[in-house]
Amino acid sequence: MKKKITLIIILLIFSLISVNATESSNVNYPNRTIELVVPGTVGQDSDISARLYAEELSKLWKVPVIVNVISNTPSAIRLVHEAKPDGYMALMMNDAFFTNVAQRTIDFGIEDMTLLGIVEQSDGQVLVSRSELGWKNLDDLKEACDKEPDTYTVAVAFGATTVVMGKMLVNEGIQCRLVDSSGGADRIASMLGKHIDAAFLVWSSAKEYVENGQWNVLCILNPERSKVAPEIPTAIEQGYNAEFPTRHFIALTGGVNDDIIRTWNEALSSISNNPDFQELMFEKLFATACFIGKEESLRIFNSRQPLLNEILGE
Amino acid sequence: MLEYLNEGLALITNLRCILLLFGGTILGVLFGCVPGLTTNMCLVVMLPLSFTLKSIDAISLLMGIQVGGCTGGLISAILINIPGTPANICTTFDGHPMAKRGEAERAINISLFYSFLGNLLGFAALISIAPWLANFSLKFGYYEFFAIGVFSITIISTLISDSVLKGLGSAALGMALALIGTAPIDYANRLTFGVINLDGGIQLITLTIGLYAFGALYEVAEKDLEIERTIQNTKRNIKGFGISLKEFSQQSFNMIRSAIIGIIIGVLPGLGAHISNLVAYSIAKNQSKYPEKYGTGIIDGLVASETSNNATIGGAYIPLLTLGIPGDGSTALILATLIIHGIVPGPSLFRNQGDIVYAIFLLLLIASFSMLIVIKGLLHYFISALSLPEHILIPIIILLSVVGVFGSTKLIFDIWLCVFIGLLAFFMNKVKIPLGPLLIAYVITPIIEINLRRGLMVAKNRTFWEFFQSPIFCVLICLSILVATLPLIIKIKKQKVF
Repeated sequence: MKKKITLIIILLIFSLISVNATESSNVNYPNRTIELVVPGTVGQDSDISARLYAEELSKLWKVPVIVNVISNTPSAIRLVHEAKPDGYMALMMNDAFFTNVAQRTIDFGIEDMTLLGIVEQSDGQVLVSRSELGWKNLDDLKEACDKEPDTYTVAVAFGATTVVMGKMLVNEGIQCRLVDSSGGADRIASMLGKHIDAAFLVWSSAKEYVENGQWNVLCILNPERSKVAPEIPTAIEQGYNAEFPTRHFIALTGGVNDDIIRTWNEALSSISNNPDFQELMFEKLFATACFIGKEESLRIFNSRQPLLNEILGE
Repeated sequence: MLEYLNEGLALITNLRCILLLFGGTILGVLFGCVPGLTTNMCLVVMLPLSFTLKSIDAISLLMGIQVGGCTGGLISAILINIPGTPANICTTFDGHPMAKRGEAERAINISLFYSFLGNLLGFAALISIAPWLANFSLKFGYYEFFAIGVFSITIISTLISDSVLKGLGSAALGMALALIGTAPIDYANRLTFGVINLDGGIQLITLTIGLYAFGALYEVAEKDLEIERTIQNTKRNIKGFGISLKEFSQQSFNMIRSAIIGIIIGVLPGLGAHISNLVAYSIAKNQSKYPEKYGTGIIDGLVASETSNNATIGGAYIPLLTLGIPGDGSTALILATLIIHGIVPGPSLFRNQGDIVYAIFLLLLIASFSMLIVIKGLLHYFISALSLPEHILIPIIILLSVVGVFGSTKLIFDIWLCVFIGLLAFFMNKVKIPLGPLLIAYVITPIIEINLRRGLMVAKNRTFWEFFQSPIFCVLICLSILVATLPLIIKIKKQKVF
């Protein structure tokens, strides 16, 4: 009996030590698997974007770079924030980081992490509605909502960027009801099933349903018209002060040493500025691969934070 | 249609594609049969490789993994009473008792056969009624998903065997465990006690491995020095699939019902094989003329569990291909691969890339055969490997499980959590509190919670009464009341409550 228990305990300790051992070596960075943590759902644009970057990083560094998609956004951010500062775990996400700061679902900011920079810029999402409602633009939506306030539903993801877009429209006097949904696929299903009236979606997901007449596109939340879909009017053009283009960034936990940061920056700059990779990103996601360094990225994000705090702070 | 079928056939009829499909199936079976290693983990590991392949080759590899993984889990479920994947939880209920009385090979053969048939029925639904089923799935909104959750949780009553109170206690514990972590929608922290690693909640893989693998470890440690084998005197060289024509005929209704359940659950986004096997098993038990025999090692339980979980695969492809909406976690990973390879699933996929659609149909069909060949071919090796004495086998399983849990969650904390959950399972077994209700409640609670909250957000005046406007909701709730009350009333009449 005692022998068996001893054997079991030894095996258990050995397995725990062997797992821990993989975390200890940190010579000639990078020399082992790197994990790119992506908050969200598998298959959505952030995931695909991260996989494209992971593949290029893997080729460049000759080590596996794996994508770990975690559906709970605050947990994903905290996981990277609490990681060892060895550069083997990175966070890739969009402005949703800052919506979480504003909503106080995380109790630290980007300054507590090692921001490497913005690696991708995307158009703001489009607002689509079910075509049988007859809305052609934001004025039609506003008119309907004025007649029946708090009746028409618009799907957004609480804790993500779309909730900011929704609240921007509400702040502009459109009295719709914002409803939580998990992600793009969930919003598409709810729209097709007529469980909601309108939704924010990336243009690549909405395009087909708009073209076949099932949905109408009301606006795009960009400062100016998109190069991908120039026929879609912006909310600003229609007299509504709402624009929210998204940017994906990569960050490590705080306190990472300069050599590791330099290695990352060189790699990201080389990949993002490669014309073939840029073409690939545009073709797959209608997004622009780029590398904007830490200082400029911080300036961009920090300039937006007060607005997010104002919109989401409550 | 025939033109697309020919083009699809031309796409996949090359040696590389078929070899990748077989290779994927072998990988899937291996990942599936090792507790802790999951189909999704294997898909994630192979995704980067798939980017370097041609689109159809990548799809072949991943579909092989998906089909092999879903079926591979039945091997460890039957042989060592630890489900290889959450999709095989109910296979343990009757599969392992069969193995313990020397019918391991027969149990695996029967499960394999019905997995194959489940795949074929899912495939049949995919090619024949995909658009209709896709449209049907769209009728399910927040109210209806909430009702599905309620219906599923009521099936707990069918798994309560000895004491109603113990069964309900187990379910309540499962619900409490499911609530740990950051809440949906408002992201409030619940029951984490300030432990950051609990923010994301307890993962299903951690709970399953803790309950079954670590629970088994403590039981082995408690036993005396006598060496016990997990499988006693296994009868070898079973002819065919170990099922007679008469038995097949008797199981045909059970098989078709379970396949329909699997397909419907597969079609509904957000659910998956880990739920379909629970629902199908419970309904089979509920409608059986001899429910008391379930859990003692009868083939009815295997038929329900394995037909339904494999039929879910075909079902999950229906919304993926017709609407671009993945039915479960595995198909979400396949969706990412398709998009990266320039194939955008949705209504126009059939019109614009019909050859790819039919190639996927055919690959699913071939993957079913390859799964059959691979498991049949490796069956003797699996049985030999898993026939080791428990005190040697279980620590090896624990070692692999620990690696699997860490691979999934990337947290050492989760391994310690497995150690703790194992202790919980050990004590629950000691006082005869069933584990099944805990696991079902854990799986279903998030579905109920999030759809209740979202349903209330959508409802006019934000009242629950709005839910009753939905006919599907009303039907499911009535069924839930029926399912929940009948067996309990019968039990209370027949037995002591406490």
